[in-house]
Amino acid sequence: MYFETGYELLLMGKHGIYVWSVTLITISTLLFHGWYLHYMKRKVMKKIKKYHLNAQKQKPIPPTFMPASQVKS
Amino acid sequence: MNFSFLHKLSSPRYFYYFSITYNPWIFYISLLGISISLTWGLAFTAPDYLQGNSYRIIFMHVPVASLALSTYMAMAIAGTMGYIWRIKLAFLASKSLAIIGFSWCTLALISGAIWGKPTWGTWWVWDARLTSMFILAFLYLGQIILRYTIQNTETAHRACALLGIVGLVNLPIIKYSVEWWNTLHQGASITLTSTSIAPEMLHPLLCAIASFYLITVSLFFYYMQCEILKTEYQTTWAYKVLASKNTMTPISH
Repeated sequence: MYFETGYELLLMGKHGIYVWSVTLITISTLLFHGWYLHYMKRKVMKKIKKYHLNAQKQKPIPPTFMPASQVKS
Repeated sequence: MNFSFLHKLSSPRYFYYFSITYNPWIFYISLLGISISLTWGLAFTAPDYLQGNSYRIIFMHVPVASLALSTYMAMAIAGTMGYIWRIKLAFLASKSLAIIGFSWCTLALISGAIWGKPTWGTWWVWDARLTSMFILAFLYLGQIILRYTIQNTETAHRACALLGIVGLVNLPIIKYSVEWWNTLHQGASITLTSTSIAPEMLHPLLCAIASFYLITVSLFFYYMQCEILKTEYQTTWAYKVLASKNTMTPISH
């Protein structure tokens, strides 16, 4: 390591605040993408579930019409 | 050479399964690359003779700034392909890239401003490079807003493709702004034939650039997976994806 101690690495002379803030923002951006993708995936999965469960509930009926008494059980 | 796999990739279902197969590898390799290059650059390289330790911002600023331009180029190409050949997947690619590109462009502006304070003595100046990058961020933002404001999806995609093509004019302006005008922002340090960066600083930088490009590919695949499922939610295979994740009742219709 170039720096002798962790404290020196943290301070980086007087520039640590600039370097570490950029590092933090970069990591936060990557984490934001992770969170947003997770949120979007959950939302879309709910959409798929809702649509297909509704589709399963809908049952087609045959196009035949007759009195119930004539229908063989 | 057989290019039939390229035709297959334009099918949303094939693309989805292709991406979920290979993307985890790309993602973990890119994360490893970013960790190595940032540790290498931030802790193991010597400070710059002029800028001291503040130059270490280069290991994040240069990759994201370069990606902001490359992503815009890819987004505009995808939009154009969708506009001309009406490929649904190309429009989805353009949409995914707009979100990723906007985040890189914003990050490049913020990291540049933070780097500017200790080196130039100011957070911001309206010089050609910074202003043209600022415009690029607005072009990305325009893409995102257009998609949310136009109700008709097809119209929104086509409008965004047109905006993307028009915005391409800005890319050479950004690239050559430091040569065409007298700017506070320094000229290019890496060209195709030469570099003015010492090898011990160049190697972690190149590693960071490669890793950030790789994670962009990975993010693109993840966004594409979401976008594909969003548009294909009525299909049986989309339900199978859900069923395989949640071990739900198998599909009956």
